[in-house]
Amino acid sequence: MNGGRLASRGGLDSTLRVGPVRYRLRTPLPSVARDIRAAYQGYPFDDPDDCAEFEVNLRPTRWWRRFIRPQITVRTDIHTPMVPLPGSMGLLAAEMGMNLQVALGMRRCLLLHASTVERDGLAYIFPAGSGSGKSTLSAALGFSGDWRFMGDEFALIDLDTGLALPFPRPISLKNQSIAVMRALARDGVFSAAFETSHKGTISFLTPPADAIRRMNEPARPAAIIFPTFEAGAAPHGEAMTRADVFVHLASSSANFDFLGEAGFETMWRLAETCPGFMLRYGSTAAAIELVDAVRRTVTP
Amino acid sequence: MSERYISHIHRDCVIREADGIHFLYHRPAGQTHILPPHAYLLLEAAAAAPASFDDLLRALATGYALDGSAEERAGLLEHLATLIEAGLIETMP
Repeated sequence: MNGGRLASRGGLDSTLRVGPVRYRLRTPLPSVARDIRAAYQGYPFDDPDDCAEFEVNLRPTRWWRRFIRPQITVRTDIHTPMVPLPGSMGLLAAEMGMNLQVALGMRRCLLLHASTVERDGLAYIFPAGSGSGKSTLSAALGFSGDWRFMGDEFALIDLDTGLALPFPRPISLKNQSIAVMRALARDGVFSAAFETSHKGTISFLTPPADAIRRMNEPARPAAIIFPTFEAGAAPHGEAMTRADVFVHLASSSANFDFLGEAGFETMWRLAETCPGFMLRYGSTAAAIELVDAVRRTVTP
Repeated sequence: MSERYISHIHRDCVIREADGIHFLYHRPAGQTHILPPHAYLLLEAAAAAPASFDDLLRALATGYALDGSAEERAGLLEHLATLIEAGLIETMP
């Protein structure tokens, strides 16, 4: 990282590439810079070939807020009003800003609110809302060693090729999922736990090294799996009709309405070529077994 | 009801079908429509040639048991109004 003036004072002013997305991250706050560097260890910072497309600037709300009860706000290219957060939540603010910029500005890919894993060159996409367990499922598979983690927040589908592009940002774990993943990823790099009013406790887990190293390797989508975690539920899987898959995919996309005909065709190709499944489970172990059963049905 | 109905779905839309449901991407509006079989049947009938209300009712009767009651006619009018609002059907004198 070079980072110029801000970095020389302990801050951060760097480009960061995650899969096909190039960010510029800036902050004058050393503690925030430190947390970002720790969560993104192993990622390509300041590659001279990278031209940032999204800027996320984490600044004190007032100059004196840098020193007294530090409070930060996120400034971004695509302006979205965000509630200021305590300075100790800088990484959370950065992740929120990075998510929003992609959700609002990505036009090169079809964007699904989904996690993704890969095995044998095939991508398995888990579209679901917040709290469904999609992050935990993809993290557990990724840290099992048998699957490659490709992303836990957005699945990026290339408009030209239909391939799933990796977007392996630090994994956002909430509440009980943090303990589940601490047990499964004993050598994992976890951020501090952030207490939030609307989502409970959040901690970020840096993806496995393999996921970061292979962040430029796309994969062909093989199945669309809609996961639902339900405490105490018996494992259950159900095949979906193609029409149902399309409708559910459309409702899980952040940019389908903005992509026009290319978005429609990409979504259709996904629904046409990938069988869809609804999975309900009560434990991560059961979820992994269900996903593996899907894998066996879709691979030759 | 002397007005006639016409649809340009084959000119204006990308049309895909799965499980009896039609998915239309309407280029002029940039919108995707998900249509049940009876709604798509109406569009096809109006796309083949400008059609009167009774023509459309007859087309619908090929796929559904209809008796031409006032209730059915009111229902068809409501469907047509929805399709007109979506820009998938136009009226002509």
